[in-house]
Amino acid sequence: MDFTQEYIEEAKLVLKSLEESLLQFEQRTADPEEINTVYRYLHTLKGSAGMFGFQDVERLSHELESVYSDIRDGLRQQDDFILDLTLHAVDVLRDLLDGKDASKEVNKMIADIGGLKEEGASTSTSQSKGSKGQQEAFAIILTPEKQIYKRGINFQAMLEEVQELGSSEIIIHNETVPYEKQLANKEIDSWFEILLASSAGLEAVRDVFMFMKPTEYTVLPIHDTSVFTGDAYAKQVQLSEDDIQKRLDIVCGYIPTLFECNTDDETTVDDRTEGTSEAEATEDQEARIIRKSKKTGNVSVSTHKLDQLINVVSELVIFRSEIHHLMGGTKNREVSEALEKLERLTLRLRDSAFHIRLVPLNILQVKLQRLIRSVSKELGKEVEFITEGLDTELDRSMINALEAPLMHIIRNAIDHGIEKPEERERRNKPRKGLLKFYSYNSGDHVFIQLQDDGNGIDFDKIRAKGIEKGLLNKHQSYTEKELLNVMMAPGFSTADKVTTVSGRGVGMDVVKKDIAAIRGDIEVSTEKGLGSIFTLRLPLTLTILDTLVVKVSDNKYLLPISEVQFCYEEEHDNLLGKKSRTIKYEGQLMPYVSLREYFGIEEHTDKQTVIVVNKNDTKIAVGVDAILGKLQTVYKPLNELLHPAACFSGASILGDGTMALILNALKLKS
Amino acid sequence: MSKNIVVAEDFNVSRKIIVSTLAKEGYNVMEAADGTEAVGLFDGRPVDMLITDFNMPNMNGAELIQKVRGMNTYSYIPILLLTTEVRQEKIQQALDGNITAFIKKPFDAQDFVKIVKKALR
Repeated sequence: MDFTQEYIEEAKLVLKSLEESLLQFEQRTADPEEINTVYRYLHTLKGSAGMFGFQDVERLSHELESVYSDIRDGLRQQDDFILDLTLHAVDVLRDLLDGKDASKEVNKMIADIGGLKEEGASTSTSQSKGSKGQQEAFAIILTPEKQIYKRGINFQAMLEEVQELGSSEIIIHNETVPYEKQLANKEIDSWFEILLASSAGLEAVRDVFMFMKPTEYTVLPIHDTSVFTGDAYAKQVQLSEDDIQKRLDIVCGYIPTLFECNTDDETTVDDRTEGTSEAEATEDQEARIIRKSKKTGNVSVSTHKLDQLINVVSELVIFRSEIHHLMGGTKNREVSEALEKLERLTLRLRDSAFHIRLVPLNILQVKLQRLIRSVSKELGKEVEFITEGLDTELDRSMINALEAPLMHIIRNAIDHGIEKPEERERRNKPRKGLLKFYSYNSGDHVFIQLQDDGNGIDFDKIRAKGIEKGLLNKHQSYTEKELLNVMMAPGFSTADKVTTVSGRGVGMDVVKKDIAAIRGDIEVSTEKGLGSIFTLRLPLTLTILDTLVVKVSDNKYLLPISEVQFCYEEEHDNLLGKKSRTIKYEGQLMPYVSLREYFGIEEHTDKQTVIVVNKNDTKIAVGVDAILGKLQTVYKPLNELLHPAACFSGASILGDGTMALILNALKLKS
Repeated sequence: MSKNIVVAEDFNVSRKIIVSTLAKEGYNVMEAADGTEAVGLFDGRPVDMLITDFNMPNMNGAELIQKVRGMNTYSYIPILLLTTEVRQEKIQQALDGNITAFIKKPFDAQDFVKIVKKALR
């Protein structure tokens, strides 16, 4: 990569951070520190642009920089106009970096900024922000009863749980008997000290110890050194100066900024002293940026490498169950304990490997916010966007697949749901419409909810439109649920006139299909005049699948459990007797396919197990010999050569090392 | 592999609620309507957790817990005891050192599942 290319890459990263910071301003008044951050990004852009011949980038960022330095110095007030201008500038800068010629646009913008300067606003605002999700440090003292295992509490698992909360160091005190030995005897003789840095919050840390008695644990947030000399410590141990320093070093290693306000007097002074030369100031700021990046310490890895890791780990998991299988009969306690340990470790390894693939949803935030901004401007609506649970994590590929459907739902909500400000006032609602993005984990699924406080879905309109499009019968009455289903049918759009925003021919049906493609589903609830909620339910990852293992002759096949609705046994004759090849379940007729027949096996068993599969409301009954059990498997896509066999969606390796194909039941019909 | 949980509770409605709550989470649940029935389930088969009421006919929760803890195979499994708030302190003293946690009746299903999950870690 030559230097110019390197510069472009880096400048784009800076632009991205700049964009993020700017969008923060929209939520609340920016504090001086944040303004300064924006200023710094612009300064960085300007600094290197000239060197690589990006004159326009240099000019534009220079003008913006001076605007933000005025804001920072209290000579001008941050307002919506400036924000719009800067966001637009980010787009223009991006175009410039891509090599597009936008000098006209740049000249226009610079003129705009010049106009701004003449206005010359004054008065400054400052407001401090509350910190959220920040790393905190804790000292934890555990004094478990000797017989804690007798209470059914797995002490070791609890320590592991603490470790999962963040970076930690466990110090075992009074280890007269080696800890491993204590664990084997299930009698704890030591007491424990844990130094933890976590962003989970005090409550979550305390939650880990919820089965312990109040006398057995103490969780102390570390704000200064007094923790180590306080009562809780004094009861157990007297720490020397050296000991305290060691602990401080550990904690500061986790959170370098923990005691910054006390130790880093110099930087604060520099920032406030006027007349410091600019070069010095930037150097200082650079130092801080470096420290900041150290804190998060991210490494970007290609997905290909991750896939490889996951493949190896999955095989390890399978190998583990193979050993488990082979050793099944052993009565040797030590062996089975070692096996148990291996099992725990492999599962943890697998979980961590899968978690690497997960990324928080907030990478979508900027895109969504900008979309909302532009759409609401275009339609003359005012929208407040509130997000919660954006730290919820999902598989990277899922997030990519989610982008389009989410944008579509948001567009719809602003276009059809949220009313114009005047209309909202007439209805005694606040002028600003509310759009809430809410996501959370539940079991193996991630839920995303998009809620608006607009007009709700107009069922009369849907009905009328459905009749017009020939999707509904004029003489029949429909339940709200049925009407919502029609709304997601292909070729349906309720907009009175086709706008550029929503109603470009693709409708909710595409959203539904996109979500189904990543094994999720979508649900709508709505209240006329009050708004609607779209709920998306998504699997955490696409690679792990809960399956039902079924047997057909000597072969095993897998069916995704999420698709199985019901299973029952039936005499073979009752099934074959029917010519129609359909069966009735809960009053509903559905096609029936016997897998033995399908795979061309002539003989049959007397009894067959019928599995009713329901995928996106399409049902099919599948006949198999027997159900062998439930299995969590790692999904592997099929080789291209097998693609013509559409009835299989993938393959997986079973616990005993043999392979089984995953059935795509709906494709059995044809 | 799904975990096996024994639920001992003589009050049918409560037991059904607990069983269906746990079954929904994918646990393998065995039910018993009194202490004697529950002890019968601890016959060497793998059991990962016991959830029991205190007041039951034939054999009460305290006796059941003593019996289960007395068996080698089950001496370290988590045991959750269902209690009403009023009695908790008294029972707690009686059973100290034998049980993992108390579940106050009536309980919130989500909290309950959270406790079960945690105790099975």
